[in-house]
Amino acid sequence: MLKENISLTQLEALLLNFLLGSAIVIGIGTDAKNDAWIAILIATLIGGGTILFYWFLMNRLPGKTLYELLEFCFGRKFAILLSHGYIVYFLYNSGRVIRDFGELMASALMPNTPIEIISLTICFVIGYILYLGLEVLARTSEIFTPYLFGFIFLLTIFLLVSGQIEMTRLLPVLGEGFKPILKSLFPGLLTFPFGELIVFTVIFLNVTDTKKGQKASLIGVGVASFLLIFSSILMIVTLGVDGILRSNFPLLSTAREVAIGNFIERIDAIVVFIMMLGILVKGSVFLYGALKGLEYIYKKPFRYFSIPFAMLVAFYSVLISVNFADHLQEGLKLVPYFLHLPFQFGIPAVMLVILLWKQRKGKKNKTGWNYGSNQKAKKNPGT
Amino acid sequence: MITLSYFLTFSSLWVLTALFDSALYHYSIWEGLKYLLFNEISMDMVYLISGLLIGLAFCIVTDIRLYRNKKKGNQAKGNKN
Repeated sequence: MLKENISLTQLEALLLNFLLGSAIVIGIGTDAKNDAWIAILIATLIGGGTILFYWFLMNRLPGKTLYELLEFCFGRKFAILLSHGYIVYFLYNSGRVIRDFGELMASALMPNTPIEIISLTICFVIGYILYLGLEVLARTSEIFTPYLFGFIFLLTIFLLVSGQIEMTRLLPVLGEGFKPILKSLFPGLLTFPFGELIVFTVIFLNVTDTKKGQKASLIGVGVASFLLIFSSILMIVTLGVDGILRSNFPLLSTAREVAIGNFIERIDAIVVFIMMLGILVKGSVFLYGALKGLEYIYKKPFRYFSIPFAMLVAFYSVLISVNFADHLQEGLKLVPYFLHLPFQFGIPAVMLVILLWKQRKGKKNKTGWNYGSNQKAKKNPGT
Repeated sequence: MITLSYFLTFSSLWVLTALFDSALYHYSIWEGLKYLLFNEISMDMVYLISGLLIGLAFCIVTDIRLYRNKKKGNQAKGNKN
């Protein structure tokens, strides 16, 4: 099957938009109230560690995806079962991301358009992008990322000029101690958005320069975290803690505060662009992760699956919950414990232990550590 | 194969959604499955069901094309031999 290549800049752009994705739509670390930015700052360090952990895991067997690593650790049959689990997990997450966007559009911007139409439309676009391949997704992300920076800069300037910013809203710092921060960190910020980077384990091998990939990933996570912290501070100083807690989409509410000379008003479009790009990339990356799993199980090019499974995501994005409150409840109470923790940390941790054990065993037997090549050598002793 | 994968994934997602619903609203998994089928599928869902059917049609057509290509390939091999 044809191997696609993405550059380091494209990887950074993908990581940046992926991490901003739905996190910037619904706001993160709100449990920590006006210390949300400190919570995100600490989560950034953990996020950096998480991406390094995934790189370390993938570097054990270079050139293999997450699914091939599963096969190496658990054998083909059990790997198929686990891969199916990952496929469902990625599709479910993609559905949740699309739902966030659908709710944003249907409740705040286009109230007369059914959420079903919004989901279906964006899923068609995602399906088509992935049909064209990962390179197209990476290029799309790379092209639009500078606009994202420009729009965040514009939003900040507009808010400053309109006099809506009050820095005292950030005070008191650590007023309630570290407890609220820890509460928002575990498992909230640990799993969302940083733990979701597990899906990049199917993308890392497409990076042209894998040696520098690790550094580029850290830069991507760093820049995304900086933007998340910056947007969090911007929301707190504009809306205040109560305003953020009352709002479903705090960044959108922040943008609506802009009013300069009764002329520059309702600059929602700027924020919606940022959110739409994030959702498009995040939804696509999750779907791509699932498609690569299907490619691994059924041994057919992932492109065959792209449109049908995009339709499946559209269907489940609406079916997963009755309303937005239900959607948030599921996302806070159930998903982190039953899906995020096992798939983001549980299985990879077990895999790492087995990988290291197998490689050590391989070294002891003096047969080298590359299990795949050993198996081939055993099958074809003459070659 | 693609149609099979479509049905398998559809069913798995259905069960997962029902499981979460039953955990959140404290009812049994069977009730969760039924609830999804009869209550959550509203009028506007007709758009999504159409999308789902388009996806299914894509799967079937791709499977048929793959099967035909495979058959042609086998025939070509047979003629060479």
